[in-house]
Amino acid sequence: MKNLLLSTLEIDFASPLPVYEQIKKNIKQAIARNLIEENQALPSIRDLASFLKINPNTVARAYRELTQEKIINGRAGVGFWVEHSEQLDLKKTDMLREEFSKFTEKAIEMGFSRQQIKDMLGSFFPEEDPK
Amino acid sequence: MIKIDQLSVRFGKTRAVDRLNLQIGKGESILLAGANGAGKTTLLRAMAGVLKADHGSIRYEGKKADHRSRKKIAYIPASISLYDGMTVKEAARMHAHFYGSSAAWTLSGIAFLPGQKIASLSKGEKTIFFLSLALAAAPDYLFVDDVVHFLDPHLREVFLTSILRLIEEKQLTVIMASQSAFEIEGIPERIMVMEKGKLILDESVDLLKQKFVRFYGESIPCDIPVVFSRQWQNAREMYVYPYLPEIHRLGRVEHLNLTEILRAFIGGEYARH
Repeated sequence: MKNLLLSTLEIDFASPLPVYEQIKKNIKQAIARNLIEENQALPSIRDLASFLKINPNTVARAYRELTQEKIINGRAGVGFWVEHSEQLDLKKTDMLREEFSKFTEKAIEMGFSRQQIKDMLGSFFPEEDPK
Repeated sequence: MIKIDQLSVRFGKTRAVDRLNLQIGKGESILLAGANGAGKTTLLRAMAGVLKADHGSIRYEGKKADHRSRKKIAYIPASISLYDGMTVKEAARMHAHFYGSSAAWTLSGIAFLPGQKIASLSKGEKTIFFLSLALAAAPDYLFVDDVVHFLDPHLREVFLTSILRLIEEKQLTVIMASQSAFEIEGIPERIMVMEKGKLILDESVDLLKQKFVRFYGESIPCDIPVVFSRQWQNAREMYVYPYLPEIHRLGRVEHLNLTEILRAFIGGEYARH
Protein backbone atom coordinates (compact mmCIF):
# COMPACT_ATOMS: atom_id res chain seq x y z
CA MET A 1 0.00 0.00 0.00
CA LYS A 2 2.76 2.35 1.03
CA ASN A 3 4.49 2.21 -2.32
CA LEU A 4 1.39 3.13 -4.25
CA LEU A 5 2.01 6.79 -3.57
CA LEU A 6 5.58 6.65 -4.84
CA SER A 7 4.49 4.88 -7.99
CA THR A 8 1.86 7.51 -8.77
CA LEU A 9 4.06 10.53 -8.14
CA GLU A 10 4.99 12.08 -11.41
CA ILE A 11 7.05 15.21 -11.68
CA ASP A 12 7.02 17.05 -14.98
CA PHE A 13 10.13 19.21 -15.02
CA ALA A 14 8.98 21.01 -18.13
CA SER A 15 5.82 22.23 -16.43
CA PRO A 16 5.56 25.85 -15.31
CA LEU A 17 3.84 24.51 -12.20
CA PRO A 18 6.50 24.49 -9.44
CA VAL A 19 7.59 21.05 -8.27
CA TYR A 20 6.21 21.56 -4.73
CA GLU A 21 2.80 22.31 -6.27
CA GLN A 22 3.04 19.18 -8.37
CA ILE A 23 3.78 17.10 -5.27
CA LYS A 24 0.80 18.63 -3.45
CA LYS A 25 -1.44 17.92 -6.41
CA ASN A 26 -0.16 14.34 -6.74
CA ILE A 27 -0.77 13.60 -3.07
CA LYS A 28 -4.27 15.08 -3.17
CA GLN A 29 -5.07 13.01 -6.23
CA ALA A 30 -3.68 9.87 -4.60
CA ILE A 31 -5.92 10.47 -1.58
CA ALA A 32 -8.94 11.20 -3.75
CA ARG A 33 -8.34 8.00 -5.73
CA ASN A 34 -8.02 6.03 -2.47
CA LEU A 35 -4.45 5.06 -3.25
CA ILE A 36 -3.49 6.21 0.23
CA GLU A 37 -5.84 6.04 3.15
CA GLU A 38 -6.65 8.08 6.19
CA ASN A 39 -3.94 7.89 8.88
CA GLN A 40 -1.54 6.25 6.50
CA ALA A 41 2.05 7.46 6.79
CA LEU A 42 3.57 9.44 3.95
CA PRO A 43 7.18 8.86 2.92
CA SER A 44 9.63 10.91 4.99
CA ILE A 45 10.92 14.15 3.48
CA ARG A 46 14.31 12.52 2.99
CA ASP A 47 12.93 9.40 1.30
CA LEU A 48 10.71 11.31 -1.06
CA ALA A 49 13.51 13.75 -1.94
CA SER A 50 15.93 10.89 -2.65
CA PHE A 51 13.34 8.93 -4.56
CA LEU A 52 12.45 11.85 -6.83
CA LYS A 53 16.01 13.29 -6.86
CA ILE A 54 14.71 16.64 -5.76
CA ASN A 55 15.65 19.16 -3.13
CA PRO A 56 14.36 18.18 0.33
CA ASN A 57 13.28 21.81 0.81
CA THR A 58 10.82 21.29 -2.05
CA VAL A 59 9.25 18.27 -0.36
CA ALA A 60 9.24 20.07 2.99
CA ARG A 61 7.38 22.98 1.45
CA ALA A 62 4.76 20.69 -0.12
CA TYR A 63 4.22 18.87 3.20
CA ARG A 64 4.09 22.15 5.13
CA GLU A 65 1.43 23.58 2.86
CA LEU A 66 -0.59 20.34 2.85
CA THR A 67 -0.45 20.44 6.65
CA GLN A 68 -1.76 24.01 6.63
CA GLU A 69 -4.55 22.92 4.31
CA LYS A 70 -5.31 20.11 6.79
CA ILE A 71 -4.92 17.43 4.13
CA ILE A 72 -2.09 15.84 6.08
CA ASN A 73 -0.75 16.20 9.60
CA GLY A 74 2.63 15.80 11.29
CA ARG A 75 5.96 17.54 11.28
CA ALA A 76 9.50 17.19 10.01
CA GLY A 77 11.53 14.68 12.01
CA VAL A 78 8.42 12.93 13.36
CA GLY A 79 6.58 12.00 10.19
CA PHE A 80 3.51 12.92 8.21
CA TRP A 81 0.25 11.07 7.75
CA VAL A 82 -3.01 11.56 5.88
CA GLU A 83 -5.79 13.36 7.70
CA HIS A 84 -9.45 12.72 7.26
CA SER A 85 -10.58 15.56 5.08
CA GLU A 86 -14.10 16.35 3.96
CA GLN A 87 -12.65 19.22 2.07
CA LEU A 88 -10.85 16.78 -0.20
CA ASP A 89 -14.13 15.02 -1.04
CA LEU A 90 -15.31 18.31 -2.47
CA LYS A 91 -12.14 18.62 -4.49
CA LYS A 92 -12.78 15.35 -6.28
CA THR A 93 -15.18 17.17 -8.56
CA ASP A 94 -12.53 19.74 -9.42
CA MET A 95 -10.00 17.03 -10.16
CA LEU A 96 -12.34 15.17 -12.47
CA ARG A 97 -13.34 18.42 -14.15
CA GLU A 98 -9.70 19.17 -14.83
CA GLU A 99 -9.20 15.77 -16.47
CA PHE A 100 -12.31 16.32 -18.63
CA SER A 101 -11.17 19.76 -19.68
CA LYS A 102 -7.80 18.40 -20.87
CA PHE A 103 -9.58 15.62 -22.70
CA THR A 104 -12.13 17.80 -24.44
CA GLU A 105 -9.53 20.38 -25.38
CA LYS A 106 -7.52 17.72 -27.19
CA ALA A 107 -10.60 16.23 -28.82
CA ILE A 108 -11.72 19.65 -30.11
CA GLU A 109 -8.21 20.27 -31.47
CA MET A 110 -8.48 17.01 -33.38
CA GLY A 111 -11.71 18.28 -34.91
CA PHE A 112 -14.26 16.07 -33.18
CA SER A 113 -17.75 17.49 -32.80
CA ARG A 114 -19.57 17.91 -29.50
CA GLN A 115 -21.78 14.91 -30.24
CA GLN A 116 -18.87 12.70 -31.29
CA ILE A 117 -17.06 13.47 -28.05
CA LYS A 118 -20.14 12.67 -25.98
CA ASP A 119 -20.72 9.44 -27.89
CA MET A 120 -17.16 8.33 -27.45
CA LEU A 121 -17.22 9.04 -23.74
CA GLY A 122 -20.48 7.06 -23.43
CA SER A 123 -18.94 4.09 -25.21
CA PHE A 124 -16.52 3.59 -22.30
CA PHE A 125 -19.28 2.76 -19.84
CA PRO A 126 -20.13 -0.92 -19.35
CA GLU A 127 -23.34 -2.02 -21.14
CA GLU A 128 -25.18 -2.96 -17.93
CA ASP A 129 -24.71 0.48 -16.48
CA PRO A 130 -26.34 2.98 -18.81
CA LYS A 131 -25.77 5.89 -16.41
CA MET B 1 25.37 34.18 3.85
CA ILE B 2 27.89 34.83 1.10
CA LYS B 3 28.33 38.32 -0.27
CA ILE B 4 30.50 38.99 -3.30
CA ASP B 5 31.32 42.53 -4.37
CA GLN B 6 32.94 43.60 -7.62
CA LEU B 7 34.92 40.38 -7.88
CA SER B 8 37.45 40.17 -10.70
CA VAL B 9 39.92 37.43 -11.52
CA ARG B 10 42.30 38.01 -14.40
CA PHE B 11 44.39 35.62 -16.42
CA GLY B 12 46.70 37.85 -18.43
CA LYS B 13 44.43 40.22 -20.29
CA THR B 14 41.23 38.19 -19.98
CA ARG B 15 38.95 38.69 -17.05
CA ALA B 16 37.70 35.20 -16.21
CA VAL B 17 35.47 36.79 -13.59
CA ASP B 18 34.49 40.35 -14.37
CA ARG B 19 33.29 42.71 -11.63
CA LEU B 20 30.77 40.21 -10.38
CA ASN B 21 28.28 40.94 -7.59
CA LEU B 22 26.35 38.20 -5.87
CA GLN B 23 24.52 37.32 -2.67
CA ILE B 24 23.75 33.80 -1.56
CA GLY B 25 21.63 32.94 1.47
CA LYS B 26 22.16 30.07 3.86
CA GLY B 27 20.81 26.77 2.61
CA GLU B 28 20.35 27.83 -0.99
CA SER B 29 20.95 25.29 -3.76
CA ILE B 30 22.26 26.88 -6.91
CA LEU B 31 23.07 25.65 -10.37
CA LEU B 32 25.82 27.71 -11.99
CA ALA B 33 25.67 27.21 -15.73
CA GLY B 34 27.43 28.65 -18.74
CA ALA B 35 29.42 27.66 -21.82
CA ASN B 36 32.99 26.38 -21.66
CA GLY B 37 35.22 29.22 -20.53
CA ALA B 38 32.39 31.34 -19.10
CA GLY B 39 34.18 31.61 -15.75
CA LYS B 40 32.29 29.07 -13.62
CA THR B 41 35.34 27.19 -12.37
CA THR B 42 37.27 30.40 -11.73
CA LEU B 43 34.39 31.81 -9.68
CA LEU B 44 34.11 28.62 -7.60
CA ARG B 45 37.87 28.50 -7.10
CA ALA B 46 37.94 32.12 -5.95
CA MET B 47 35.02 31.46 -3.59
CA ALA B 48 36.75 28.38 -2.19
CA GLY B 49 39.92 30.39 -1.61
CA VAL B 50 41.95 28.21 -3.96
CA LEU B 51 42.53 31.18 -6.22
CA LYS B 52 43.28 34.76 -5.29
CA ALA B 53 41.01 37.44 -6.67
CA ASP B 54 42.56 40.47 -8.39
CA HIS B 55 39.87 42.79 -7.20
CA GLY B 56 36.76 42.83 -5.03
CA SER B 57 35.71 40.93 -1.95
CA ILE B 58 34.06 37.70 -0.89
CA ARG B 59 32.51 37.70 2.56
CA TYR B 60 31.18 34.76 4.52
CA GLU B 61 28.76 35.70 7.32
CA GLY B 62 29.95 39.28 6.97
CA LYS B 63 33.62 38.43 7.37
CA LYS B 64 36.42 38.24 4.85
CA ALA B 65 37.36 34.66 4.10
CA ASP B 66 40.33 33.41 6.13
CA HIS B 67 41.73 29.99 6.96
CA ARG B 68 39.03 29.43 9.57
CA SER B 69 36.08 30.20 7.31
CA ARG B 70 37.73 28.08 4.63
CA LYS B 71 37.34 25.04 6.84
CA LYS B 72 33.60 25.50 6.42
CA ILE B 73 33.91 25.35 2.64
CA ALA B 74 34.15 22.11 0.72
CA TYR B 75 35.22 22.36 -2.89
CA ILE B 76 35.09 19.41 -5.26
CA PRO B 77 37.09 20.25 -8.40
CA ALA B 78 36.48 18.61 -11.75
CA SER B 79 39.90 17.03 -11.80
CA ILE B 80 41.83 16.11 -8.71
CA SER B 81 45.49 15.13 -8.83
CA LEU B 82 46.58 16.55 -5.48
CA TYR B 83 46.74 13.26 -3.58
CA ASP B 84 47.59 10.99 -6.50
CA GLY B 85 50.83 9.67 -4.99
CA MET B 86 49.15 8.66 -1.74
CA THR B 87 47.06 5.75 -0.61
CA VAL B 88 43.43 6.16 0.50
CA LYS B 89 44.51 6.02 4.14
CA GLU B 90 47.28 8.61 3.74
CA ALA B 91 45.06 11.01 1.83
CA ALA B 92 42.33 10.71 4.48
CA ARG B 93 44.89 11.39 7.23
CA MET B 94 46.27 14.39 5.35
CA HIS B 95 42.79 15.78 4.87
CA ALA B 96 41.95 15.23 8.55
CA HIS B 97 45.10 17.13 9.46
CA PHE B 98 44.00 20.17 7.42
CA TYR B 99 40.35 20.14 8.39
CA GLY B 100 40.60 18.68 11.87
CA SER B 101 37.92 16.18 11.01
CA SER B 102 37.93 12.46 11.42
CA ALA B 103 37.58 11.50 7.81
CA ALA B 104 35.24 8.67 7.06
CA TRP B 105 36.19 7.11 3.80
CA THR B 106 32.98 5.32 3.26
CA LEU B 107 29.99 7.04 1.80
CA SER B 108 26.60 5.42 1.31
CA GLY B 109 28.02 1.95 0.95
CA ILE B 110 30.97 2.78 -1.28
CA ALA B 111 34.02 1.56 0.63
CA PHE B 112 37.59 2.31 -0.33
CA LEU B 113 40.48 0.05 0.65
CA PRO B 114 42.93 1.86 2.95
CA GLY B 115 45.97 0.69 0.99
CA GLN B 116 44.55 1.57 -2.42
CA LYS B 117 46.50 4.21 -4.38
CA ILE B 118 44.45 7.32 -5.16
CA ALA B 119 45.93 7.33 -8.66
CA SER B 120 44.42 3.89 -9.28
CA LEU B 121 40.85 5.08 -8.64
CA SER B 122 38.65 5.94 -11.61
CA LYS B 123 37.73 9.59 -12.10
CA GLY B 124 34.27 8.91 -10.68
CA GLU B 125 35.59 6.98 -7.66
CA LYS B 126 38.05 9.77 -6.95
CA THR B 127 35.22 12.28 -6.96
CA ILE B 128 33.19 10.16 -4.52
CA PHE B 129 36.26 9.68 -2.33
CA PHE B 130 36.88 13.42 -2.14
CA LEU B 131 33.23 14.12 -1.56
CA SER B 132 33.29 11.74 1.41
CA LEU B 133 36.38 13.49 2.80
CA ALA B 134 34.83 16.90 2.23
CA LEU B 135 31.51 16.00 3.82
CA ALA B 136 33.23 14.44 6.84
CA ALA B 137 34.48 17.94 7.68
CA ALA B 138 30.81 19.01 8.14
CA PRO B 139 30.99 21.98 5.75
CA ASP B 140 28.45 24.80 5.62
CA TYR B 141 29.18 25.43 1.95
CA LEU B 142 29.70 22.92 -0.82
CA PHE B 143 30.98 24.03 -4.21
CA VAL B 144 30.96 21.30 -6.82
CA ASP B 145 32.57 21.80 -10.18
CA ASP B 146 31.26 20.05 -13.27
CA VAL B 147 31.54 16.47 -12.01
CA VAL B 148 28.06 15.00 -12.20
CA HIS B 149 28.20 14.22 -15.90
CA PHE B 150 31.14 11.81 -15.68
CA LEU B 151 29.80 9.80 -12.76
CA ASP B 152 28.17 6.52 -13.73
CA PRO B 153 24.48 6.19 -12.78
CA HIS B 154 25.20 4.43 -9.50
CA LEU B 155 27.93 6.81 -8.32
CA ARG B 156 25.79 9.74 -9.39
CA GLU B 157 23.01 8.49 -7.17
CA VAL B 158 25.41 8.07 -4.23
CA PHE B 159 26.76 11.54 -4.88
CA LEU B 160 23.37 13.26 -5.11
CA THR B 161 21.83 11.37 -2.19
CA SER B 162 24.71 12.44 0.07
CA ILE B 163 24.24 16.05 -0.92
CA LEU B 164 20.44 15.96 -0.53
CA ARG B 165 20.87 14.53 2.94
CA LEU B 166 23.12 17.40 4.05
CA ILE B 167 20.79 19.97 2.54
CA GLU B 168 18.06 18.56 4.75
CA GLU B 169 20.09 17.96 7.91
CA LYS B 170 22.44 20.93 7.98
CA GLN B 171 20.98 23.46 5.59
CA LEU B 172 24.07 23.05 3.46
CA THR B 173 24.55 25.82 0.88
CA VAL B 174 25.33 24.17 -2.46
CA ILE B 175 26.61 25.57 -5.73
CA MET B 176 26.93 23.10 -8.58
CA ALA B 177 28.67 24.23 -11.73
CA SER B 178 27.38 22.43 -14.78
CA GLN B 179 26.65 23.03 -18.42
CA SER B 180 23.40 21.19 -18.18
CA ALA B 181 20.74 20.34 -15.64
CA PHE B 182 20.53 16.77 -16.88
CA GLU B 183 19.98 14.39 -13.93
CA ILE B 184 20.06 17.24 -11.39
CA GLU B 185 16.97 19.08 -12.60
CA GLY B 186 15.12 18.84 -9.26
CA ILE B 187 17.93 19.93 -6.99
CA PRO B 188 18.68 23.63 -7.61
CA GLU B 189 16.26 26.32 -6.45
CA ARG B 190 18.14 29.08 -8.20
CA ILE B 191 19.85 29.28 -11.57
CA MET B 192 22.76 31.47 -12.51
CA VAL B 193 24.20 31.63 -16.01
CA MET B 194 27.64 33.11 -16.61
CA GLU B 195 28.96 34.52 -19.82
CA LYS B 196 32.43 36.01 -20.19
CA GLY B 197 32.92 36.41 -16.48
CA LYS B 198 29.55 38.05 -15.81
CA LEU B 199 26.18 36.78 -14.69
CA ILE B 200 23.67 37.05 -17.52
CA LEU B 201 20.93 35.28 -15.58
CA ASP B 202 20.13 34.95 -11.89
CA GLU B 203 16.60 33.69 -11.29
CA SER B 204 14.68 31.27 -9.12
CA VAL B 205 13.92 27.98 -10.87
CA ASP B 206 10.17 28.36 -10.34
CA LEU B 207 10.07 31.80 -11.96
CA LEU B 208 12.48 30.85 -14.74
CA LYS B 209 10.26 27.96 -15.79
CA GLN B 210 7.25 30.26 -15.88
CA LYS B 211 8.99 33.05 -17.77
CA PHE B 212 10.91 31.02 -20.35
CA VAL B 213 9.03 29.68 -23.38
CA ARG B 214 9.59 28.29 -26.86
CA PHE B 215 7.44 29.01 -29.84
CA TYR B 216 7.58 28.68 -33.62
CA GLY B 217 6.96 31.43 -36.13
CA GLU B 218 8.06 32.86 -39.45
CA SER B 219 10.44 35.52 -38.19
CA ILE B 220 11.56 37.10 -34.94
CA PRO B 221 9.02 39.69 -33.74
CA CYS B 222 10.87 42.93 -33.05
CA ASP B 223 9.57 43.58 -29.54
CA ILE B 224 10.00 40.12 -28.05
CA PRO B 225 13.10 39.23 -26.02
CA VAL B 226 14.39 36.23 -27.99
CA VAL B 227 17.31 34.56 -26.22
CA PHE B 228 18.10 32.09 -28.96
CA SER B 229 16.59 31.07 -32.27
CA ARG B 230 17.28 28.72 -35.11
CA GLN B 231 15.91 28.29 -38.56
CA TRP B 232 14.29 25.07 -39.71
CA GLN B 233 13.11 24.36 -43.23
CA ASN B 234 9.74 25.99 -42.78
CA ALA B 235 9.75 27.61 -39.36
CA ARG B 236 11.88 29.59 -36.99
CA GLU B 237 12.25 28.11 -33.53
CA MET B 238 12.44 30.85 -30.89
CA TYR B 239 13.27 30.84 -27.21
CA VAL B 240 11.87 33.77 -25.26
CA TYR B 241 12.82 35.15 -21.87
CA PRO B 242 11.28 36.89 -20.06
CA TYR B 243 7.95 35.91 -21.51
CA LEU B 244 5.03 37.99 -20.38
CA PRO B 245 1.72 36.16 -20.48
CA GLU B 246 0.17 39.25 -22.11
CA ILE B 247 1.91 38.34 -25.36
CA HIS B 248 -0.92 36.15 -26.59
CA ARG B 249 -0.26 36.84 -30.22
CA LEU B 250 2.72 34.48 -30.22
CA GLY B 251 0.20 31.71 -30.46
CA ARG B 252 1.00 28.43 -28.83
CA VAL B 253 3.98 28.56 -26.48
CA GLU B 254 5.71 25.67 -24.73
CA HIS B 255 7.30 25.61 -21.32
CA LEU B 256 10.58 23.73 -21.04
CA ASN B 257 12.73 21.85 -18.59
CA LEU B 258 15.94 23.34 -17.23
CA THR B 259 18.22 21.40 -19.53
CA GLU B 260 16.48 22.86 -22.58
CA ILE B 261 16.40 26.34 -21.08
CA LEU B 262 20.14 26.24 -20.35
CA ARG B 263 20.89 24.89 -23.81
CA ALA B 264 19.11 27.92 -25.28
CA PHE B 265 21.01 30.37 -23.07
CA ILE B 266 24.34 28.81 -24.00
CA GLY B 267 23.37 28.58 -27.69
CA GLY B 268 22.46 32.26 -27.53
CA GLU B 269 25.90 33.08 -26.25
CA TYR B 270 27.56 31.42 -29.24
CA ALA B 271 25.20 33.23 -31.60
CA ARG B 272 26.21 36.59 -30.13
CA HIS B 273 29.98 36.15 -30.34
